[in-house]
Amino acid sequence: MKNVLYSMVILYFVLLACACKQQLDAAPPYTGTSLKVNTSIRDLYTSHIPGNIERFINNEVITGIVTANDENDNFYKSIVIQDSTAAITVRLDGFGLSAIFPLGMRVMIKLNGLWMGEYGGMLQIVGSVDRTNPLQADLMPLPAALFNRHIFAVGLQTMPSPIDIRYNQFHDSLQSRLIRLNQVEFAAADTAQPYSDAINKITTSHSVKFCSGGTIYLRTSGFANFAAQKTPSGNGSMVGIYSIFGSQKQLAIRDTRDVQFGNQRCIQTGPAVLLWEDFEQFTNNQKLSNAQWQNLAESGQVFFQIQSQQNNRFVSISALGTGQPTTTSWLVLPPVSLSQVKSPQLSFLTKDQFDNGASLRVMISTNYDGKGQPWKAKWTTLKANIANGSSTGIAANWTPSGPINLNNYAGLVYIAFKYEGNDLNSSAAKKNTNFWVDDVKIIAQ
Amino acid sequence: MPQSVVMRTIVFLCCLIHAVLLAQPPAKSIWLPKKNQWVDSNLDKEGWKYFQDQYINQTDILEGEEQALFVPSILHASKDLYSSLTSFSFSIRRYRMKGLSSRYFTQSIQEVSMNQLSDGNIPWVNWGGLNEVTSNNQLYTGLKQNDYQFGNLGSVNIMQLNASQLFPQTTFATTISNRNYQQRWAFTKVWAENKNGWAFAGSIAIKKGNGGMLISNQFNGFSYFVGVDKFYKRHLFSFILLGNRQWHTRQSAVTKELVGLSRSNLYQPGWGLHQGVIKPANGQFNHQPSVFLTHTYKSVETIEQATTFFYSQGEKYTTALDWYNAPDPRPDYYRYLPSFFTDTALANSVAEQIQMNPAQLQINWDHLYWVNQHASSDKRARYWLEDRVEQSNKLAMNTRFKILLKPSLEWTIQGQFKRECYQYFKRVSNLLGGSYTMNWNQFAEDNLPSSTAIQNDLNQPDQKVLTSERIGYHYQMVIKEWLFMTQLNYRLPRFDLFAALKYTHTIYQRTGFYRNGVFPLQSFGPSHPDHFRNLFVKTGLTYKMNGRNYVYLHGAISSLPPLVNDWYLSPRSNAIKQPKQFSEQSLMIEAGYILNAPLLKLTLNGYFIQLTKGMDVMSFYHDGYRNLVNYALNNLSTQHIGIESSIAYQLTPSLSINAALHMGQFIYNQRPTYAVLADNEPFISETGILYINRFPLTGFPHTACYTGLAYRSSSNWMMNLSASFLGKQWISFNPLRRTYDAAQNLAPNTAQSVLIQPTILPSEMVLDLSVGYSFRLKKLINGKSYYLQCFLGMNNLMNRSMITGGFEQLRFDVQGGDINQFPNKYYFSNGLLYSCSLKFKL
Repeated sequence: MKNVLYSMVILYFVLLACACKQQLDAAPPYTGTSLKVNTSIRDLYTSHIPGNIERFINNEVITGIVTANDENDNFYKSIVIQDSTAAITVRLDGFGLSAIFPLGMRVMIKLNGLWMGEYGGMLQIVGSVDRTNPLQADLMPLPAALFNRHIFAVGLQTMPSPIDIRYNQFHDSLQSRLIRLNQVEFAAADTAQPYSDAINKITTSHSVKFCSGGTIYLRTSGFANFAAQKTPSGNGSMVGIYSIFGSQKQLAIRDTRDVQFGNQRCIQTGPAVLLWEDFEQFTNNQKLSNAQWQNLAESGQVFFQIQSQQNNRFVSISALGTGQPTTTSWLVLPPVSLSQVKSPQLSFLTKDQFDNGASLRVMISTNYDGKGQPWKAKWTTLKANIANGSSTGIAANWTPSGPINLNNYAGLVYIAFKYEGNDLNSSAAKKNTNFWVDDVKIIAQ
Repeated sequence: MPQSVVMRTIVFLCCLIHAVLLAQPPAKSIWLPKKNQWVDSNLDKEGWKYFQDQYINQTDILEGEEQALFVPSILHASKDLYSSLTSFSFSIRRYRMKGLSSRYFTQSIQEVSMNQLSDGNIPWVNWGGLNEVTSNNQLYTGLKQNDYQFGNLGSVNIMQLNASQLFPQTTFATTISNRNYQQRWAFTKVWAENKNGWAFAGSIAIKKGNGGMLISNQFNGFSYFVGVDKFYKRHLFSFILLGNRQWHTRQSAVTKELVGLSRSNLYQPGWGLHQGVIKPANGQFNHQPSVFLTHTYKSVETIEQATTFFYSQGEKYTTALDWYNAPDPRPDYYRYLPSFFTDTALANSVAEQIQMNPAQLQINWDHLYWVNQHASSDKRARYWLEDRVEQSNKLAMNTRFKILLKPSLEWTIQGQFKRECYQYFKRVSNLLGGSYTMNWNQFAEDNLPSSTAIQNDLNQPDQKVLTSERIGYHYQMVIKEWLFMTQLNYRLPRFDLFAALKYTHTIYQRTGFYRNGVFPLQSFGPSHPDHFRNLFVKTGLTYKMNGRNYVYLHGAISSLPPLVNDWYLSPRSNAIKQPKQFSEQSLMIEAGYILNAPLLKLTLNGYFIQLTKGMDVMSFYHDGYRNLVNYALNNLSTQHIGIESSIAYQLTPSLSINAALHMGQFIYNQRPTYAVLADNEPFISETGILYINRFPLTGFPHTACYTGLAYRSSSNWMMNLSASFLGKQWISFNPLRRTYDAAQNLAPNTAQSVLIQPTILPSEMVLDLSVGYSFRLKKLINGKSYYLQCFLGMNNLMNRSMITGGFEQLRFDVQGGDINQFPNKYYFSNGLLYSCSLKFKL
């Protein structure tokens, strides 16, 4: 009995002690939004069906660091966020966004109810879709009144470093990414030009050339507050947001500090590029026409056309559909001076389709007068690897010509592509192979 | 004992007067919304522009002074029945006598007109709160003759503050109310003239308010008065010092959409929570102490002379949010509201979001602080609070002689010199956690790339502005006026005749202290001074049928210089003036009948007023120019024809029935021309015609009538119950919608009348009640007594919620032709208003 009493007393004190120690429950101290990221930006690209406009309905939450905003008005009503996998543009219907979404700020975006779609091929997150125009749905930015509902600030963090990209590495997966191009410079015609048209407020593009060959366009809004500044003439690196519009590869800088062109232009050092043409600067689906290039038909009235495939432009020629008994066409490159250059080399890419025997040759002339009648001059065919044999369709890959040594030539020379074929009725005699040519390059040591 | 009754009656009357004054509603603006609203220099990317009509500066009058009734006429019940009946009850709808603007009414203290030469307004707030000592007034309505000065078309109120003319008293008064202040305490002591010829008076009053009807309301006022009189033979020397230091929040007009979203017509956008505490964004400060030195001399009945020297110096400012390179912080910005979206789904989401998060309809201060500290590494402030300051010093000398040439012939001459110097600038008052901001006009940023246009002051380019430093604009306006007046007053047995003439010479000069980047050659330094010479003539005749019946006829022709703010198109940034120099012409004829019988009093006054060649400047954001523009209106012409009538009938010795009627036609009767000066281009970019002929004058009821029952018992009771009808009132309209070009983008099949029809407000019926009771607490041995006076005043007894005024936004979507893009904004009344006061009196 006594034991029972003792144990009761002990139990009582134990319970009391427990009661004393008890604390009210409390949530952990608030350190930021409790949202959990459940999707990467890369996943958005993967789940997106090209051409579609999709609504988020599965409570997706992404996060990213703001890598571009309207700080200098080059980006309009949008910010760009980037996580470790990819980057995406978010269109926001507001001004002065840089104040609330400064560079380096990590945000979380609750995507539920938002949309994603393409604008000129670029994937964007938008607030809604306007389908009043049945031919083309308009993507509408997210209204400012709804920012609080979808976007949550996490805090300022260090900016991700731009990734270094070479010309041949451009790819759709880089959309909206912060990238750095090295050893680039503005094309000669685009140096010392205003970045954009600040008077008429028109967006302007400038060609940026890689020393190793290749062109990308720097696109700058006429509203940018550096629009009236002049482009530098040197060479160096450029940081910016990569975008595409249709087939054009573009870069947009945040401000002029993104352009560090302190070095000498690349023609002075390393392998000199005497000629480099990727045809990206020409208008798609039109006859190539340019003051420096001669696009001539000796017979049959067939001309070299600019065409595009997978966002890449090139020249194309074929006698197909002309009905001509014979077609001979010339594409004469701008003249190149081979004096005082060491080991000049020519290279290019070709692709053939439905090859039925027409020929494409590359030739050189030292006595062509440049006056538009190359057939009157003396031409020597250069030995090159030219695509052939794809008789049933389009060749899978581009055929590199291989380095073509021009050491034996000096002075001003002309190089031309000569296409010879016909479009006779007889399928046996028909020779209307379609040739594509791209990335024509002449370099020297 | 009879003396005590008399005393008590007097005391009671004083109490009544005081109480009625206290009961006046928050001074509803009787003026038109202030012109030339300063529009600030903020834009968003497309150039959408913040302009002040969002927070229209109505509140100078609206909240500046509770007692700011235009005509403090209850004091003159015996003298002007019509004013005494109507001024109180009609004011809820901003009734303006005869539909005239503020410059046609004069308020003078010690014979010096207090109307500001800059804008014609009367700075009521300067002596606000001093109810106990500012009750010595004489009101002369219309063209009635007065002994002091020329007068004005509307009315003249002459206030005398001499200590020796105040009723000797020791009083402590306290008031509670649900207006913008909730408590008032006042202590007043007046010593009558002692045997050495000295009289003293002093009064202090404190007003406090926090919350109330409007949750964000704050009010802090301290007013003071000192008066000393010294009699010396036939001379009286007076010294008066008065001032009112007052800070309070301002009310904004809101659209009906916001009322719907917030589910309250007490919604106000201009505040938010900062760390859990209500922080207002819109405030107003005023403190302008004034000194009067008066010398009066009276010889035996034949010569009276009064000279006053007046000096006043002080500052007033309104506080508002400004921003640069950041989203618009105003929660009522039209792009944040559902009506902005044409897409229904978006509009619904926005509406839903706002209703789920009502805090989104208030300013998010914590966020603004965060932005200022994080948007850039050097903490350049993107948002800040700034004061739009008007510093003034005013000086006046006035002297007047009244000479009795014959017992029936009086001759008055008056000379006056006034100099008013105003400095206008903006001052950063709070950087909201930021460290500095730039003195840039970002509005010019887009227009002239890479130029110096962005600089507000080319003399200090790229200036970093810290707290309490100037920003935006800085200029001075000096106005000088010489005035000479002479008047003859002839009293015959059956006729009274008078004729008066006034000549003024006014000089305007602007001096810029900033060299504005857009107007480098027209902004810095003194401008060419402008001289205006104006003549005023009036005359009148009264036929005295007998001691009870009077008939009169008055007429006046006058011209007034344009107000300086209507003369300079955009004085903040430059010295460009109206293209042509005119003076505003006016012609007025009034005739009336007065019956003054013991039981029945009746007044009937009819008038015709024609004002021509008026000028006005309106500044606002223009969606077509995508810029802040100044619309200079010229050749404004208005016609006012109306009658004012009042009647009082004594039913029993203690009960009387009163009625008053105001009706008339108040219209624009010509087509004014306009010229447009955009704030970023140094030339006139457009001229045209405003098609507003026959449009109604706006902002006051064209028809109003009053019926009241007044009970005054022989003991200490008083009670007054009245009903007022206020009808036919239009809200001020946007001239842009009445131009030829306005209809260019109107949707087809839309009647043009949609665009041009002015908006009429619903008519209102208002019930007011006031009750007063006075009793003696204790009788002292020396014969004096302690009295306690109680008073309760209630306006809008039916507790109706009503629109008291409003305006069409001056911003207009020309491209879209959509009048609903920027819908009308309204002021709402707060329902029942009360004020209850207790006054202890020795």
